[in-house]
Amino acid sequence: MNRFALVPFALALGAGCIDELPSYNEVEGFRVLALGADDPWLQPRTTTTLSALVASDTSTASATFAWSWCPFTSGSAGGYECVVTRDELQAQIDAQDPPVPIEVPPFELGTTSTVAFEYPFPELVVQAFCEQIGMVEVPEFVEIPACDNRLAVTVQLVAENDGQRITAVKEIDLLFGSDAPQNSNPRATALFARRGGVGEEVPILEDGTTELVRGQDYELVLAIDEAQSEAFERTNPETMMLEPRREALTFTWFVTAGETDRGRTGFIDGEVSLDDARRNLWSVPRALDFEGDTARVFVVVRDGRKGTTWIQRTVRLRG
Amino acid sequence: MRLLALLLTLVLPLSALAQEAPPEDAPITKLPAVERFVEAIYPAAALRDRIAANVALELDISAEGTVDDITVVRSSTIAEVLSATTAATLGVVRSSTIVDYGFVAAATTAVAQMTFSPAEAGGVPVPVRIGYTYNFALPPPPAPPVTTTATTAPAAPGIVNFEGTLRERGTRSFVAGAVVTVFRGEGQEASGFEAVTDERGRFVFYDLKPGKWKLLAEAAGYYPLRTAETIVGGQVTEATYYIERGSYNPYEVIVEADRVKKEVNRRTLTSAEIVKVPGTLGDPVQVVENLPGVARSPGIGGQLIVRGSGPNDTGIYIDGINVPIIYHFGGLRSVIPAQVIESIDFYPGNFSVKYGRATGGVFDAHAKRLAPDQVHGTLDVSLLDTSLYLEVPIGEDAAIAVAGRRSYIDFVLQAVVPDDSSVSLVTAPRYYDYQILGNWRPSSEHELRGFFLGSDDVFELLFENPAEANPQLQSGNLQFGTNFQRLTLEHVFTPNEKIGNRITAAVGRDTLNFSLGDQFRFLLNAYSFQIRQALDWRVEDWLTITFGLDYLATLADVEVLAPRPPREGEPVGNQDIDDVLFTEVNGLWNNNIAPYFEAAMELGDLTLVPGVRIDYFEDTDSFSVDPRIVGRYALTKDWTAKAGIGLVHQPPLPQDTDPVFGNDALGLQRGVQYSVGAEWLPRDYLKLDATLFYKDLHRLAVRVPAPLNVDNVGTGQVYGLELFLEHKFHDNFRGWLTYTLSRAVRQDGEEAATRLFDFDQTHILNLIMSYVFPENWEFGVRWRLVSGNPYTPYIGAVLVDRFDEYIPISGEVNSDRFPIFHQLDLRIDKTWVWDVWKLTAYLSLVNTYNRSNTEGFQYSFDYSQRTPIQGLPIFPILGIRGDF
Repeated sequence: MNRFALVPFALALGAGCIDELPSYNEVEGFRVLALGADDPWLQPRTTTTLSALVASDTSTASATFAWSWCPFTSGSAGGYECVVTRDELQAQIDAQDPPVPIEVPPFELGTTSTVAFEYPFPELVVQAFCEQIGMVEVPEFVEIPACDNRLAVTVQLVAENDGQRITAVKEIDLLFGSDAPQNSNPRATALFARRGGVGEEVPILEDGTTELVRGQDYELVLAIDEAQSEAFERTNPETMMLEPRREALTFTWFVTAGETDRGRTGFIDGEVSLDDARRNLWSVPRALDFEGDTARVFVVVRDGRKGTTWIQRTVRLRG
Repeated sequence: MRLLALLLTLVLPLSALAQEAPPEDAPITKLPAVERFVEAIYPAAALRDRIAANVALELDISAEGTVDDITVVRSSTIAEVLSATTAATLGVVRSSTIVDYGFVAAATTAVAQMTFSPAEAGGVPVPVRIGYTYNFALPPPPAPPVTTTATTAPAAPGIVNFEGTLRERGTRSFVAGAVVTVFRGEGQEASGFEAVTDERGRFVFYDLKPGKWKLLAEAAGYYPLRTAETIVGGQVTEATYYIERGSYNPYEVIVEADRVKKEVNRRTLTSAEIVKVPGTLGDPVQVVENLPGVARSPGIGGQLIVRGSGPNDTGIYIDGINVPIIYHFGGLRSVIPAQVIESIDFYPGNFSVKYGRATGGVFDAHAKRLAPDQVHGTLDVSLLDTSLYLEVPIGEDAAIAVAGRRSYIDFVLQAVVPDDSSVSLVTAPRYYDYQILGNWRPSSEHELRGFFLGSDDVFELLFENPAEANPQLQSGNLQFGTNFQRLTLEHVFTPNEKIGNRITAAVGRDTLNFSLGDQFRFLLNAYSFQIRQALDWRVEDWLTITFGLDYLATLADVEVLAPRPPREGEPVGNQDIDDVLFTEVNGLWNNNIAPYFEAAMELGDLTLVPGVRIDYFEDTDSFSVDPRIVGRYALTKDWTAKAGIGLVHQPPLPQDTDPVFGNDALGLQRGVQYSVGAEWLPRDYLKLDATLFYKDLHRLAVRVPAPLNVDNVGTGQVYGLELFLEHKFHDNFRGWLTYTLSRAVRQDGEEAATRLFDFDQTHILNLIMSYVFPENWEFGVRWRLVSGNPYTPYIGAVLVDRFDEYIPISGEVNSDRFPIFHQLDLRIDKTWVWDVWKLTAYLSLVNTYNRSNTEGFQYSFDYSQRTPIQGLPIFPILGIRGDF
């Protein structure tokens, strides 16, 4: 359930009790934390690489992956189930008069940890599809899907590890038209730790040699600049006019040991500063609570427009 | 024996004569007439309490004119202490159901000795059965008050030198009919005088000799008052005495007698009954949730779910005027405090044609009718809120009252929420409401009433880290506020016994303001204007017809920027809140007009109430014609059979006819309501009611694929049984037991499978009991046992990268149920009484045995685990209430 929707319910229930459930941000077992695409908005005739950020409190060495894509799904209300098979789609295309010489690429994309996804149709076909939607005669009260020079398709990953099976989906926008807008993934360059939230920020190195003291609180600071929040134009649903906006960046913090003060932080232009959003407090576990010698921390950054990136680090626990 | 039913009079309609021919086929040519009237002995207690009565009898008159047999039809007492004017003002006959004053015995004893001139058929005396009503009329009240002597009476009224007023302790109500005795001395020296208090509680004594006199005041239902008074020569001694009632429980005073029932099921609860129901916090609407046919509202409350219909399908009225919301936020308190309510009428189905635009039930609260006797006030302070009520008479014929209530949840939350919390309560949740009531009765024919009601709810939260709540949120500033007012004016014109006209006009304003930054908002600013008019014409003794009009107009400005809201039957929790729609409507007029006609026919043991209502709905540009009929048949004195069938129509919700969110070509929703049952009254205070009901719903607005979005293709069926065992206040005990067996299903289109309604509850059992102990202690219990609501289980989940969340995959809709709900609530009251006010302390203990009732589930992030969201744990609410 959407956690925001729980707020009034919790208020209404007052002192009603809710037992503890596993935290989204504390990695236990096998997890898929994010799906990425080198280009979240795909230009015609290009290919993007799809990847997944997977994690486990044990090992992901034996994880298996099955990637696929689907042009039409049931959406969020229907669990993103693909509502058409490749053969059905091919049959529909073949039935067009005059004939359209297009071969629908296979929906299956591969079983490796990263796969390539190629712009599946000629640009004109994607554009025609969007235009056809706009030309269908519908009553005035029907909202016409705004393709906005891009059409979203869905890629799906089914990952398994140690008997755990996870399904994850990500939307990739297929761009068309000469004035198609652009969108890039945000980029984070480094992660720092500051003991007790004071003193010097120490970079957490990629080689896993950084040591943190058990039982201490560390402020984690993500190195990301405001330029990663791209400016774009959005159609105002009230005025149907384009208006300038800046991307809202969200930072999701995952750890394999200990806990973070906040699970997710976000930069919202004019509401929450980036400097606040890129910081979090990590309570590094005591030996009593966690026996392992190392712990991992992941920060996933999303730009609210399907752009995703992440940074992951391993630290040694001392003391 | 001929059966001639004559009520209240010996006049026999000729048509009846023709139908009741004697065996020898000779028509009755002469009616019996009283030859020897025997006056019944007026029961002493009734005389003292100033109680009048009518005893309706059926007499078998022999051919000789003697009374062979007597059957008691009914006996109704009339408390004269209310005065005829007050009773007429109230529009009801008020009766004491507590004391049997012995009217029936006195009447039958007297009538048995009476003789009649026999009826004749063709000149021959014949036996007949006639209706006869013995009227016990009170002698005129003492004016001037009579002073009688016990030993040595003054020769004639002299000079008043001692006068006083007798009032009830705690309430300051006048005590009429009390005997006040002053006496002194012993043996040969003893002397004493008596006086009876009038309707204003006044008494006077004449020419009392100076010195100390003992005084004794006695009245039925009160403790004797003993005191002493010193009379000073040449002076008039004035005094006010306060006499303590035997018990201050509110049910014993006066209860409203049953009106003629024109519905299959109408439950009427008085304000006094409402306040003391445990677990409901004295809230009128929450009390209704314990009546048969009403499902338990999830969580604390907040929704009226009647006979398998949704909360929006039940009409909510105050004196017949629509109100937009019934609860303050959270469902803890309704917008109408019990202290400004006279009573509530609740109809689970088969309601009168007076009501429309609803396919569920009807809830109609009646504002308090003020009695211009004296200043009254109430202050009620509880852990939730404080309410104040003040009533002031204006002259002899008018009164005005003001009331208000404010919660202090905001103060509590401000104190509880830590400063470093991720949520700032910019404006902590608070509600308040306010009322002004007025009554003016310039003459016995005219009555004017006014009622102003306002309600205001507001809260504002600031999420310092909105992303924590949801990564799609673009703002953390959440504002919510609702506000409405209604001003109602009513004129009742009763020129004679046959005609009565009631016209009510109301204007109102509703505002709703919800926003989350500039990402979502719902702004509503609406004005409403409503007129209700009902002309009752008693054409014959057995026939009353009503012509009525129900007109409702609204003018609204609406602006909505939000995702499409989930509908009944749809799982929640996987909505893409980036997918928003926008609609803006300004100056939207919507007129609904509904003339109706109803006839109430009392045909002996059979009562039939047919009616028809014609509605025009501008929103859908459509008419509906709703014929309805209710019948009641008195099988015996104790048993009544009843049945009803009626057509009901309801316009779609405003959002469903919005061109963006719904379908502006949507039509009316329709239902056919059936019910059949029986009532058994083995005792005056005991009633068992069983009703079978069935409801057929058509043209329900359900979600369909674009381009229509919403269409009238849904259907539904609701059927079940309601049992209601009621024990009215008797032997210090009152309570009721209700059981509802019900099943409500829906089909969201012709091809869709049948599924359970969201609020379907198979078994609903409510037990309410209160016992009044001595010393003004009262103990109340409520116990509920209810099937869990259905819910849609989740059978998997998918991680959606864009949402940074898993979304659940739903299984079959409403294919599982929450565990059974049961809960015990207690309430203890203690009242202390002083001369001019009384104080009540109460403790309400909600969920006394701390049952963990499941109200929902909280799921783990991937929906692989869940834990129940439990309702309120054991929760005490303390309060005090002062009345003067």
